[in-house]
Amino acid sequence: MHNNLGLRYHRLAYVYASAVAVIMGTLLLGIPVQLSDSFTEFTAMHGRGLWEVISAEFYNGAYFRPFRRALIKIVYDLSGGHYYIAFRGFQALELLLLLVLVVRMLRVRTAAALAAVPLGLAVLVGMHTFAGAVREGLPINHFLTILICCAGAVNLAQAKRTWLIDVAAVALLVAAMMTIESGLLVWAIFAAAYIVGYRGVSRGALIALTACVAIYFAGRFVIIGGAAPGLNERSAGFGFAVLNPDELVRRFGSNPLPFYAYNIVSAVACVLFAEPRGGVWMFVREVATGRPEPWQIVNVITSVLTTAVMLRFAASRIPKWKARDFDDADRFVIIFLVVLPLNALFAAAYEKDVIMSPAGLFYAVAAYFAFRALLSGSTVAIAPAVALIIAIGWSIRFVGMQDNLRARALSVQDEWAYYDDWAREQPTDVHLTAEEEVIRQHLYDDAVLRAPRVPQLSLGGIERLFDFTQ
Amino acid sequence: MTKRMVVPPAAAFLVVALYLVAESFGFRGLAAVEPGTVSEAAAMGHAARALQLIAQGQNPNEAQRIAPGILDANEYTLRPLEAAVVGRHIELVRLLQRSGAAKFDMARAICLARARLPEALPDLNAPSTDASDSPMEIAAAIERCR
Repeated sequence: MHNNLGLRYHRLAYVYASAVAVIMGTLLLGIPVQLSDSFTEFTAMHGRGLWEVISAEFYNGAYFRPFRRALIKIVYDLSGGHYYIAFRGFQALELLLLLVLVVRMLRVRTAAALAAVPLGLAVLVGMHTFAGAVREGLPINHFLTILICCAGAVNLAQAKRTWLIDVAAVALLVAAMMTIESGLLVWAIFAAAYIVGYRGVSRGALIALTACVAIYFAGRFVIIGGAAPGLNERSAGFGFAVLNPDELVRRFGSNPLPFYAYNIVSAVACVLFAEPRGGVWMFVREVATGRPEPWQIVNVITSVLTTAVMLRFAASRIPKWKARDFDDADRFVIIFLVVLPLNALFAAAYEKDVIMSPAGLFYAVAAYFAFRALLSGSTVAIAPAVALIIAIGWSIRFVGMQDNLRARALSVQDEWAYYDDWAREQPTDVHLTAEEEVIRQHLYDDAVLRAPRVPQLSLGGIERLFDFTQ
Repeated sequence: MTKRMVVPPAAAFLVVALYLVAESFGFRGLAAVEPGTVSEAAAMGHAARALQLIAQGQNPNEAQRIAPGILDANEYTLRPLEAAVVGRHIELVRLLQRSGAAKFDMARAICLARARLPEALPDLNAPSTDASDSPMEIAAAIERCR
């Protein structure tokens, strides 16, 4: 009887997660394939074989992302020329897969566990680090792919140990780290999961995973000879402003370590407190001038309170941790604490919110377990008020994300309308072959002429509570 | 405690989901104004919508009605290029020129640009002297350039 009820709660959690994915997927399907960071991917795919696309990535300097391009190539070839529906449909499916994997790892078995699901998913979806994983097309969002790999890693670690799980773990790590650099976090997740007692992946497999990481570093930096990104590649936030590459080189060219340290600390703070954003202390700056935006207040208060609840929960469990007595809640909080600083290392060169999306994912899961504990009863007098503020805050951020996707549809359409301006602003001249011009025209028509107009909402000022900055 | 933590996110989800369903049946209760003419699209800075309406056959040189609430509380009749100038969308002024909005009352467009968008003056082949430092009120600018 108890098992049946537990199964029912778990299924309801899946239904809820799927419904959230369907809502967001519907809005995603209204966003055409974007021009920036995306159109050139299409022209790079055209007329080249899969291996050619992959091998070209092996000698791409600071970036080593062969599987990212491979995935784009596969979807491109399968699309049969229907790029818009193929790429946005793929992103919607990725989102569904991610939410299903997340719910699967929560192992919802009780009414209290189910009750915390809406808030947990609101944190996941409403998190500022998550926005870049859904708003951007690229044309396949590799950050979203990595989130799936992270959630997949936990699911494998939680599974019943078989040799197939071990093989899948190695395959997952290889795919993740060859997609983007932060895919290396998958190794950290497997290792942390093993340490806290998830033994779906064997010790032998963990050694193999570690060997894969060693081979990655040796291959990338010794054999291929790749380098870390330089200061002169892009603008980056520092203090209260964004510095352009020249300024960055001038200030940190001789010794970039303080800048890297700043970015790492900023990245950690960004996840925990929703400030700074992109390395810029926007909220502090606006408070100092007396004009913080309502959405900034919502973001910072919600994140600070959620982090406080989580830290209080973690502090209450330290005696158990010392005795190595872990339940799911402990395990996820510890995995989050492991992933957070390691993820921040990937933001050392420049801090961008979406880089921290894996840490954001585990932040949401850890918060879910902290909420679950809060639901089971708290003796703190202010707990009900804090719970209400947190729940309302994340609900606003959840709704804001949906409105954000609507706005994104409009901005991508307008981006294509200004194609000529975009082409003129590129660092190198854009010369398209006749076939590439056909692709361009197709994407342009999709975006400007054929894409459905996603209705924008007019909420009478409530929009000011929503964060549209990502 | 349970109600406090469960009701807000569940309600938020329901509101979003129900609105999306209602929208699929044509409900537009919370919809922002959707530009129906090239001039309205230009006034709002919606470049893709402007091009869409031109592709559907609207004349980019024709004076069109702009509903109240788009530029300000008043209704206006402006050509698309004039609307883009009054709405202060410089890129759209250039885009409209590239998209066939070439027949316009040059003196009026320059007058509006001086009042509202001096950056557009070079695009209208006009010197940028005597331009307002700060944009004039919309109604006053249109009245002055009548």
